Amino acid sequence: MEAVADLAGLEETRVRFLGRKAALTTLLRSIPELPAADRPNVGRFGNLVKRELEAALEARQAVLEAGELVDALEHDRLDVTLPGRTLPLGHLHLITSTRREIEDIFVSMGYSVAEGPEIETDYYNFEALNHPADHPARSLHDTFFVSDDILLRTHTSPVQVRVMEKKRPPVYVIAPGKAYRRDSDATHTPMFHQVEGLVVDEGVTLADLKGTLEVFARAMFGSDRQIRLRPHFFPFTEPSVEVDVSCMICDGVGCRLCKRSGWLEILGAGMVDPNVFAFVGYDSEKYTGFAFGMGIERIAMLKHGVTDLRLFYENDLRFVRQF
Amino acid sequence: MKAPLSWLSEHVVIGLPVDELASRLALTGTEVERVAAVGVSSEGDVLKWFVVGKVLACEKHPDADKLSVCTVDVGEDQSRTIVCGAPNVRAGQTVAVSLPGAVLPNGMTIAKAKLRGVTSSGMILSEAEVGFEAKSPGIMVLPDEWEAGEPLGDRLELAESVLEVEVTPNRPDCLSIRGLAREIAAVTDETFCEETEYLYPVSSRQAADDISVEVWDPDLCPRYAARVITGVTVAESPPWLKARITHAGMRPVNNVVDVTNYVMWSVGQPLHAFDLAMVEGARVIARRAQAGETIVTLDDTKRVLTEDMLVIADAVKPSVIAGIMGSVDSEVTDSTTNLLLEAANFHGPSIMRTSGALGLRSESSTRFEKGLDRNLIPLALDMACAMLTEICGGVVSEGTVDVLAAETYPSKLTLRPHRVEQILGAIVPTAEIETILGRLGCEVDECPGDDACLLVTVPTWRADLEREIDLVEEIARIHGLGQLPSTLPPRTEGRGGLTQDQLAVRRIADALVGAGLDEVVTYSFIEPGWMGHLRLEPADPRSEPIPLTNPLSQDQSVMRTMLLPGLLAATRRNVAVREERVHLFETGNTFHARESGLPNEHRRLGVALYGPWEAESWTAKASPPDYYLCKGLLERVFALLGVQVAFEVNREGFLHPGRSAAITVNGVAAGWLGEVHPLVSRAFDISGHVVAAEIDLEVVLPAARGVTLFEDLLTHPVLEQDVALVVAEDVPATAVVGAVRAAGGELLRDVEVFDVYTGRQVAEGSKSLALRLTYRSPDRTLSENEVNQLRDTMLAELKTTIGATIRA
Ligand SMILES: [Zn+2]
Repeated sequence: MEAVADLAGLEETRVRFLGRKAALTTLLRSIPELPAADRPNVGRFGNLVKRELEAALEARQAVLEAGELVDALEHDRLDVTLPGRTLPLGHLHLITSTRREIEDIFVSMGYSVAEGPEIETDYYNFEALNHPADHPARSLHDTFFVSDDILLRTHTSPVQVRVMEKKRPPVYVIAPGKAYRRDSDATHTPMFHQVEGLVVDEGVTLADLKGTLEVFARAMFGSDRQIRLRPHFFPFTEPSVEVDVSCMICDGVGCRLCKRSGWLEILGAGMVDPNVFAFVGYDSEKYTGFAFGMGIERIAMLKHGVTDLRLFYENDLRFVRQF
Repeated sequence: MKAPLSWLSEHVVIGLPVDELASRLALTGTEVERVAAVGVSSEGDVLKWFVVGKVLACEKHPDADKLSVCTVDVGEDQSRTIVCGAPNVRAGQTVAVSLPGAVLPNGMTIAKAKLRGVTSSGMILSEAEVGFEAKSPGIMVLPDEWEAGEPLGDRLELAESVLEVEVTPNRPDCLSIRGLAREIAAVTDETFCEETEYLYPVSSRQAADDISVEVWDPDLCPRYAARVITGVTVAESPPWLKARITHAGMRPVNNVVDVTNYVMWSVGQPLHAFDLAMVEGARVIARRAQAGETIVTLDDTKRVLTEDMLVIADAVKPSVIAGIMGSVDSEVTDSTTNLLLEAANFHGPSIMRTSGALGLRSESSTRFEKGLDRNLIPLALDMACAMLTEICGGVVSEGTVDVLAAETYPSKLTLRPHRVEQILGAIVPTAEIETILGRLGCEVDECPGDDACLLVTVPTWRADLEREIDLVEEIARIHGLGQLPSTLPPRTEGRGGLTQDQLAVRRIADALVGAGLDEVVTYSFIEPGWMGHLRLEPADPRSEPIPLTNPLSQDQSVMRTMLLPGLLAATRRNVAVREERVHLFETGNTFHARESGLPNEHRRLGVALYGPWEAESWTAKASPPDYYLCKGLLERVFALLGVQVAFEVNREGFLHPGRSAAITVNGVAAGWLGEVHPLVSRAFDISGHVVAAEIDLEVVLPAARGVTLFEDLLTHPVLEQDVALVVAEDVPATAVVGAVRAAGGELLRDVEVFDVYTGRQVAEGSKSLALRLTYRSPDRTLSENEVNQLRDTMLAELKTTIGATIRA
């Protein structure tokens, strides 16, 4: 049996010993013709031999089959280095993924996310944000108009006013969305995205704004980032500040990205002006608050090293699919 | 605002290196955009090659008509020979000389050179050659008191550093050298000094005899003051003045105009000089323009005025658009001898409106529009009179004709030091508060009867300080924001998070990204012609998008009513760069006009699929996207939201009439999908199939499932049966499924079409739909027999409702 090399040989062996014409089969078939006294012994012995033969064949078959499987698998080979089947993976636009990242940081600090209309009234976009008609600050915004007092919002700040009109303090909210300004060059697109933030509560201070933005900057740009506040002017906050983050390329030493200053401007902010509270009926002696606004594209450019703002709106998939 | 450092230094000691000064200013609220080195390089000792020279002799060059050979004393033992090409060089002049080794601002190095056979060892300079003006007609002539060999840099600002400062709109006081110097003094703790007394020759003539001033519209002109100067000579300005004017970013014109500009730069008060002889009737009238009145401004443009614009007129005609720009006819010319000098105060918002309406801005209007201190006027007039009489000659008539609507007095504000702490979250000691406010020119006293409160008197040049909070800001910025601690708000109640809708929008985007689509962000304003490509009915409101009144360009001039055109444009862009698989989606608002008030905004999801779903590879053949692929994507979105939708046959002009569907949610229109009509694709320059869809999320999201309740699907298993129904070919699958559901009874839980057949085995005009029926009872396990009975009853009913027969 050990000499049988393959399953075909095994079948030959089975036919030879157990087939219809095999000696054993012939013997067992002839038992009724034997003398009665011999029949039990011949029968018992014959069947014993048959069972042992069968067991030996089965055992040999198992060994041979295992060997043949190994051979078959050995020969059934793929080029495993060929590419996999294409299961296309899509991509969020970098603006969306950055927006989500910003939202998630503030949501983790307990903020809600509010949204508002992109076509706004003069009242919400300017008036209630302490930009009275003919105020020079309005000239900082190149506004797209739909009619005399309806316009494309120039910032997401109107959502501040809409939130405060609906809700008493405490307010912890961010407002992401599109904004529009009539400006188009290498560093401006006529549509862009902002995230506005607003906190109003008892005892909120400029130091709280600083701490909050520090948490944000570190979550967004790395745990060893520093921030600094520079005084600035916005009509709807007072004091107003611009906020810089220490340059992530040179770590504050000075490089081309940060124009040798070691700092990169990331957003504008300030304490909500009492005039804005007056528009929404908040008591500015009891409540104080801060607001901030950042450009999503700017944050994305700094974080990912995108050098051309216009790429965001060309929708070339060679750009979209990088992120 | 460009501020030459030497000019600032006349008013404040600048003890810091200039880049440290810039950073100190930035950290206290005055952004320095850059510090520009202008003029001659100040590196090393190269300035020593620029000296004062005396032209001792000046001969014609023997071999060149236009050249002179000068003998120039530059304070050395021997005089030098210098060849000069300027027409105005004369013996006896005091001139500026650059010696060999000097490098001019344009990069030219002066070397000993032979000019037509004569060796020249130096160069006599013009203003332009050292950057004092753009173009000079001849050499610069210096005062005779300057001595030969004096370093020129001691006398003139050859190497200037110019701070380019971005002034925020609340600080018009910093649009002047003195204002900036005062700010520098405050933030660097130095002393500010300025000259306020000026001496000049005054004649016995009274200004009021020569001129009358009438302010007809004091609301637009709160103050108008005029002085008269007689006997001036209009000429080029001296080199130092040209240098200042040029370094400040203006253009030298003549001595009179340059002086008025210089004074404006110095004190922040714009001035206007009229040729007195041109003032008809010797009357100056500040009045609103008559509608349609015209004026040709100095930039040679005819301006048509309206009744809300203020002009300065004489008895006959308007000669200045007040505070913005003068006319060509009242301009000071070389023949002018008598001047009317105006210093006025105009209503800021009116100047801003007028300048906006005319599209005309000037240095003057950018100052007036922010609101100026009317108390600047006497100082500005005095300074101008002193400079004009010194530089242009002449004498000042006695008196100022001054029409003043009301005096402006310093305002008084109360400041509670605890409010400073309440806003900043840091304690600034009261003594420091007093020091800071003092440095800013405020006077600080105790409030009468309240020693927890300060009474602050604000100088009139800081009209932006109107409220306590404005003082808090000043204290914050001078105290230093870097000193603030970093804390977090003392949140008292509530929690945050995303809303269900916001989460749903994220999940939709994630599902589509997971399915292989790429997200795009297209502009909300589009080319109006794009809507025309869509074959919409004229009455379709989508064909009338909201226009912008002042678009940047025609191709971004109307607000989109659909996402499709933007997606098709994005598709075309990618096809154009040979991208084979362009599978896009976008979520964004569309805008729909209403009778009044704000337009409706709908957040929509748009999808556009172009090119094979799977790229051609060794494992798969490329297969073009089709209707069913797009529908499958949408079904996936609806399934994850738990929204029941219906797809119905529909006709949108921009879709293939036989391969498109309307989507409804509870009977409300919620979007469409289908193959884009070939004519539409062609209009967008796309050859090949595009399948697209748009879903109105304002309809879909509210229908999304809330909390899912558990249902026991395990205890009693389902029983499935397949059945093939033959129906007329034009019966839509949804109708068959609907009829089956209606007839199936409550134990029929699900009906799914898994095959469609038309062909020889069914009758002509018929099709066979293979359905998988899923039966399940919540309280018992169904038997085959029971289900067979249910099915047979159902089939009998279907025969009458939709004429369906069992396929043999
Ligand atoms: Zn850097």
